[in-house]
Amino acid sequence: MKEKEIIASVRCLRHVYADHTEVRLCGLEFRVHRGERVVVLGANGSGKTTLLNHLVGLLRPLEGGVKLFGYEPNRHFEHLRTKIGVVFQNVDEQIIGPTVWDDIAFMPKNMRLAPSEVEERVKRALNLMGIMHLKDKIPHYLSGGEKKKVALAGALVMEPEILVLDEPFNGLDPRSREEILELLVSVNKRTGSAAVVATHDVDLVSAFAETAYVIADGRIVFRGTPKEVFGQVQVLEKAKLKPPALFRLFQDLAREGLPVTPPLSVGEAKQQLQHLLGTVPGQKGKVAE
Amino acid sequence: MDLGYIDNLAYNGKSLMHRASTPVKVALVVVVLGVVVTSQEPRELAGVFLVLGTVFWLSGLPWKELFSLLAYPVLFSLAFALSRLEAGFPVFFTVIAKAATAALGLILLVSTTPYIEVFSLLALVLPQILIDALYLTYRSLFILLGQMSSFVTILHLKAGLAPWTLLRNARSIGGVLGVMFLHSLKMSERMYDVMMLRGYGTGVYFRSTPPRLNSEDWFPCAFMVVILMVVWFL
Repeated sequence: MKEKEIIASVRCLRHVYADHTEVRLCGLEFRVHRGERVVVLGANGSGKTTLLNHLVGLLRPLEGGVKLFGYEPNRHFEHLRTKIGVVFQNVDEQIIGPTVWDDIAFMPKNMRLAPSEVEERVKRALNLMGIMHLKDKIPHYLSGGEKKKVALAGALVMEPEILVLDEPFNGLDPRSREEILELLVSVNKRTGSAAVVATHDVDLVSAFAETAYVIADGRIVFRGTPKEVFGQVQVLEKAKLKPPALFRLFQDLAREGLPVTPPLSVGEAKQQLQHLLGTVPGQKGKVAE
Repeated sequence: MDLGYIDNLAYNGKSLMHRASTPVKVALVVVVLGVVVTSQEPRELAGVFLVLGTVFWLSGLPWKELFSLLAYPVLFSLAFALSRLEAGFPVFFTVIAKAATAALGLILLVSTTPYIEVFSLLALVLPQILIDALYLTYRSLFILLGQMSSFVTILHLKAGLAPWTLLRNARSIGGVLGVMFLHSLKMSERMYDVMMLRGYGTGVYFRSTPPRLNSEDWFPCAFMVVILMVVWFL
């Protein structure tokens, strides 16, 4: 099968902040293909945000190369910004408009689109996120999950080709997290835009990512599918992370000789357990002959 | 008492004054300010103050909380009034009454009108850059207030604030304000980044519909007439 076009790449990055904090990200090349869902895994302070800020053109690297759609993002910021949708950690600071509608309309209006097109795009983004009922709300009266959805709608309104999200699940309750996660996957499937998510929450990787990168000690140390990443316990330990509890449990069971393979979802684990215990689905507790 | 409280009153209030259109409420405040600027009569000012107090009462606004805000203008005008004491008590009273009446009029407006409606109206007459600056200041203050409240809670928990320890309290609050200043600098950088990424160029837009009068406007209009009558007859 033909490999999809690479739309973003980061190679051996070095950046020094104003307070002289130096961030290096060498090792493997970071690549995002068109329409791909990518997760960047790393502990706090590992350089995930620095990587994303370079990718969207907010920072210029001292060394290394960053390419987005073939351009250096920092130099061609104005040209690229309609192709990028960004949601940062603190969504409160990202919601600029006086009302939800105004906030989502912020970029189309600033891009001087025709009023009818602005209206249409805002409606589409509101519907995509399922927040039409919030359109007249003032930002500070929204819940954390609603704010995330508004920020996402604001990022999606220009129909970007790549969506960049920094710790999008932080501070959300489990239900809101799941809701946002499902929305992100559905947006990716419906619009075909690539998505890059930086997180330290390994539980979300398998539900979202097609490809995951692991950052440890200033290096991109691993690239693979979620299953491949979780199989690399040493790599994850080096990155101060752990595979999801369910994955670890099945890994231990497999190590003790049980015929199971570490699952990526609860459904997969359930199937294996049913098979292992010989229970018939629908007849709880009954053991098959 | 904070900005959030007033904002909440304005946003969630259901009284006649809350439901009246913004231009008419602003017109009422302009009339009040006009009287404050032109009048030198303590009786007139006291009369207007009482009329505003009646509107407050009829709008179901919390007296205690909102009237406590008058302490600031009264305190500052007191210093000026004391310097004019030789001109007599009526002048002393006039100076203080002017400050209190003007402040009460504005408190009435902001506690019955959501800020976006005020900004939308201002956007019709002020330059976009000024509206953006005012609006973003308001929005930032709101975000910072949340952080400030967390800091004060932490100060309480760590015994940084206690009754009758003025010096220690002042030192603690000073520290918090310093940290808040640094926070606000970082926050403004992040907000600027976001605005750049989201294509900021022409301004923050308000989805304002042209200001329209509505059936509840009789309420502020009636009090506008009462104020003019007070000025005329007193």
